[in-house]
Amino acid sequence: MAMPVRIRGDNGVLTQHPEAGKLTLSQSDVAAAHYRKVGEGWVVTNDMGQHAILSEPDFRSYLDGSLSKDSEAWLELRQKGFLKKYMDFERLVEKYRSKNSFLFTAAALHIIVTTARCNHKCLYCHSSVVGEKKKGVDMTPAHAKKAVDLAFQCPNPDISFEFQGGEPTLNWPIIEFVTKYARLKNEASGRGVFLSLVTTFSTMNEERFKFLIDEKISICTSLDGPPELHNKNRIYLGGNSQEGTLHWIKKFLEFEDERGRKPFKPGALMTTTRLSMEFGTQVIDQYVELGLPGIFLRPLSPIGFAKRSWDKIGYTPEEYLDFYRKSLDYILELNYKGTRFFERMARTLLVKILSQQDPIYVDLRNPSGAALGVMGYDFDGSIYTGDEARMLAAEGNSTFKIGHVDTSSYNDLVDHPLVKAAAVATLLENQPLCSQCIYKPYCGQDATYNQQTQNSLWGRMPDNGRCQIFMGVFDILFEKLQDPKARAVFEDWLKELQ
Amino acid sequence: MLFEIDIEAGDVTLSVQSQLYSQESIEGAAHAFGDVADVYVDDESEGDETIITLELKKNPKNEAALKETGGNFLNELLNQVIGKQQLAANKKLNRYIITKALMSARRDAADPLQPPAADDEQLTDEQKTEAASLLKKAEEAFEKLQKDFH
Repeated sequence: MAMPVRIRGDNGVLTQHPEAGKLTLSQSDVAAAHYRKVGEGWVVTNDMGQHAILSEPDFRSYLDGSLSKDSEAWLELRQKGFLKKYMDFERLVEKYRSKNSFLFTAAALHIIVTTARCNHKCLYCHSSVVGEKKKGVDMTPAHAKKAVDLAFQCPNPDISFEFQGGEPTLNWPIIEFVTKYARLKNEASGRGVFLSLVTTFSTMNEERFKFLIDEKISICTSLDGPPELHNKNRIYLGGNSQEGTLHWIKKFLEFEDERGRKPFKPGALMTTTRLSMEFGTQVIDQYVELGLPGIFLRPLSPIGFAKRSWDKIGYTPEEYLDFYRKSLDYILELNYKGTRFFERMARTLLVKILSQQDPIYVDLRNPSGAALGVMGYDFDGSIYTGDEARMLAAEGNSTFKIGHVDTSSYNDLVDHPLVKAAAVATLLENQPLCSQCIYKPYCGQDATYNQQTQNSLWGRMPDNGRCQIFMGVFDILFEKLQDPKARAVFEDWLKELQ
Repeated sequence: MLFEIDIEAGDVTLSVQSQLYSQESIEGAAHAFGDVADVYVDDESEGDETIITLELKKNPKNEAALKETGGNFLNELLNQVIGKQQLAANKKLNRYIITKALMSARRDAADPLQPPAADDEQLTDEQKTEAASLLKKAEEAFEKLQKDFH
């Protein structure tokens, strides 16, 4: 039987692979799988999240059923569930369950937007923040209490509260209250409770520093690179944004607990703008010099201010992928020379690819994490299916609002028609291209992105920028996985997480 | 196949094969284009072709914008048709996965494996007093903050 092998061409459209007609399939040998030529090898994946990378001759022999049973490739394919006659279903079901563990539980991430106010005016801000003095945009303690009460209704054994804004520390009483109230409630609930703060550090002081340390609240901040880049992207009304960020990153990194350990490793991310691309590896060097363990080369999303200034700061998926490839090459070189340093998006995807575990990354799930993996509690008590969802609402599109802390029960939120619609729309098995895509076992859609860019929850993958970026990053990673030196570095990055 | 741009009127008119593109798919695509263009189906469309006109809602309404909108609409139309086929083909599997995800996310009071919600009635008197005290303190700090900032 001739194989309908398809590839994504330069224009992002799937086309017939030129070799397609020459490949034959042995239906009695080949189990359900996806395949694609990446670099020199043929990558084969299945829904259990297993992958194999085959040489051209091995791939052809695999497809037509003539692969020698003595070959390493045959043994690997057999073990990973690619050979129909040798499926160990019990083991494969375990793999599927572990990779898709989010299907068996509820939202772990609860985002508390303490305020829409901010003292920065970042060029790419997704949150459509308002000025520091604006009234009526702070979450009240009463709403914060109800948000925590709702989060504890969620049946996940672990609950993470993430403080977001605006600049969340501008409404500091809510951070203190939610932290203490959640800890108190947990005495009666007995779960794992985790707290994190996304901050610019612009209102940080010694007292707050001590509170965050004492309460073991993890920190995530933005560091875009050298001052001439950071301060251009992240305009701070109170002065030099980068100076304060560097000061507090160092302070957290240098903090020693009573046993002399340095437990705080603030997460830092660089939002990639057109301008950042010009600075290339300088940003990575800065992260390394600071002693940060890794960097997140986050692509821009066309939401909020970023959408309005896209002409100045935006780029095509191809341009981003070119930048990403060069940056990853540089990071790998650093690792080859003995500096252990990771790129966070790569590491998250590699957890899925190499360990078949769920990295608890709600942006890349099948179906999407909208209300099933994450809930967003906005400053006014409105509840959304996630962070981007409330950002969209700030732009005037409330499609993803599913309730309010004053009136909704937890099950009302999960039962909301939008949650079901988003689950159906983002299930990759329902998507024409995704259902056939080799990266389906590791990928996921975002209905808010689809709505924002293509006017529907479903989106349209052939010209969907997010799809093109993830597809490209997966290609780069699978290409690197064919190089034993790079693979060893990737495996080393995952050891730290085990 | 028709693909006509009228810059003066700010619209693009195109035709599609009725046999391939159902009325339902056209309605689906029109819905997706709700904030981009008003979509009209020519009620005089006859035989094998359906004639569709897209009137752009926002500027610019130049040739490039009209061409892009018309092209994107055709892409969306194809997406609607194939999406429906896909939905039908994987119906059973889809229902199973989505039901599993939705049911796992619900709180079920009868399920002993779910962790307690720690509702007010489940807190001890001491915990209730502490919760009330935390809230009162937060309200005072919040009020002060509002005065200081505004």
